[in-house]
Amino acid sequence: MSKTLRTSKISKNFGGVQALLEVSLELPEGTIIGLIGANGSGKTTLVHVITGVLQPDSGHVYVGDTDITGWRTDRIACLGIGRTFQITRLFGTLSVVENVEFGVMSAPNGEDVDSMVNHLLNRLKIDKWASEKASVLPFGVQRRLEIARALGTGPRFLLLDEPAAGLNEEEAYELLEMIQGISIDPDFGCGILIIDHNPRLILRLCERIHVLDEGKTIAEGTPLEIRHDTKVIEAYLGKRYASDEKVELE
Amino acid sequence: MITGWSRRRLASAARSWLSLSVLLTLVVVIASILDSKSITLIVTSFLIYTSMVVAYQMFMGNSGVVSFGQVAFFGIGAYSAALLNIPPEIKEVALPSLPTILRQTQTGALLAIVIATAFSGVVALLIGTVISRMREDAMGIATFALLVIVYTIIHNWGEVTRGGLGLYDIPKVMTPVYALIGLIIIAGVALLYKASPIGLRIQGAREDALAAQSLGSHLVPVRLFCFVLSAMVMGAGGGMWAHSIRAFGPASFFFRDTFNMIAMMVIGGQASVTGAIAGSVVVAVVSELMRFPEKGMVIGTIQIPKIYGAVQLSVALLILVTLILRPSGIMGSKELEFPFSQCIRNLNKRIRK
Repeated sequence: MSKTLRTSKISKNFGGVQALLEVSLELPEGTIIGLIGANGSGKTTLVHVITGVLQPDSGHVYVGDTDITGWRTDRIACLGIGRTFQITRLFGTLSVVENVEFGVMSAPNGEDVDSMVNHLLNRLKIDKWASEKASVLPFGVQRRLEIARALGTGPRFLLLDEPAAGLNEEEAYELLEMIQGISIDPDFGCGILIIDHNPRLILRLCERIHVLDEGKTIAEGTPLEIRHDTKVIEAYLGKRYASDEKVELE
Repeated sequence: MITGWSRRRLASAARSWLSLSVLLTLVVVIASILDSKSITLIVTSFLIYTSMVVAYQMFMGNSGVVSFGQVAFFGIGAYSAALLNIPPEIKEVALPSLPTILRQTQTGALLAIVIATAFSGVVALLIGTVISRMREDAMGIATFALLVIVYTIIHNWGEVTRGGLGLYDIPKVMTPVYALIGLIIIAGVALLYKASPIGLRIQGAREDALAAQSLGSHLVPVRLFCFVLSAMVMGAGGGMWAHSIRAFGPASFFFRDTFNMIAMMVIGGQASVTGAIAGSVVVAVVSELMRFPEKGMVIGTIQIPKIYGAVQLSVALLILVTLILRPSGIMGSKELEFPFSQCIRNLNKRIRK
């Protein structure tokens, strides 16, 4: 049965700085939701709260009807919430294969580890680096490896924290196509929450977009709605995106 | 299909195990051909010490936690095995305060080592339940405290351990062949653990704990398992060692051995079982060579005075040189793998021709 990852009125304060204020968000399985906002708007904090790295001051996180607020990070991961990090956190001295194996070994459905690892390496186009150590990989490959490793766990929801950060335009769009492919691939078919600073990429990729500013939700809607939302234009996008015909939405 | 296990990792572990077994067997065969009593002693001692370095590697190499306390389990294993297998007539005289059942028991070497292994595991489980919840740096310091606690208990619990006087008349049954079998089994356990899902989990946690947790790895049981397994193998090594030496005291399980084992791992490469063995070889050879300057020596007409502490000094220098020139040690994280399958294929081709 299809489930939804849901945050309900999440608030988080760091020593007087309001990082999140009553943020509610829904991520149904099989959809791609974008999370955008300026630096320090609370995007990564929200991902940390969902994955149990940080505990919220108030509010709840649900998977379906299960309240997972306060659960340990590993327990949340076992429930099917995978993630990547803003600054890649690979197992540097382990090889690419071993990094992906780590994810696959954690999968609940008893996959054949070797064939699943090969499938992921091919799917993310990193098979030619299979025996290299993760720490020596080019940056773009590290990003793809982190996604492959997270997909290995067989997540129902995948939270991608700035997967295109540090990539050039060409690499970013290649990654975008891969993420799009993953979301419709029946082998994976998970809900994807993607954070990125590239509005063009997010507007093209996502079915719905959630916009944060100083820890608060200022808009939520389809790319078309977000593109013409005055608050979003003022706080984040700028007027160029409202009228830029090059930004293809469909 | 093997759920959760990678056939690739298992096959690689099997190849390494076979390669190491062949190499170590060769060492014992050469020693037996030379048929010298001192070489037999050195080889037996080397194989047993190497078993313990491999046990040390299982924890420190896989978890990345610098442990100063694994040698404590070497002591626990050695004392447990010795107390179980010293002849009752000796115990009546040397250890009259021992509980009657222990005083009148002589289990035989194999059972004594098995019980010592289990007992080390139980002690490690009790201690590990607490320390595996600590941060990595705190865990290292806690293992240091553990070493001091165990040493102090052994040194002062005269009724059971004879304190500083030590135990004696332990049946000396360890031969190079038994020590070789012990090391081959221990290397197999270490390689299998390294290739297992739980082994990969702790290696991932060593690299990045948060990333490992975000992939579903609960660090406490993973670290606890590693700690207990390493302690059990260390205890088995201690039991083997006790049966190779006839008499020993508490000083054998303290700073000097901790230093030597850490040196062996750092020099060989702590992320590799082969590295632990390579490090043992290097430290053993350097130690044997540096004993000559320690005793004073003559080269031609030049009399070189005694250099006290030459062995420890040279091992310490070797650690520094390794850390500067090759921080990951001789082997890094690589394991020895002879190309057996290729050899078999080549042999098949020749036979067909």
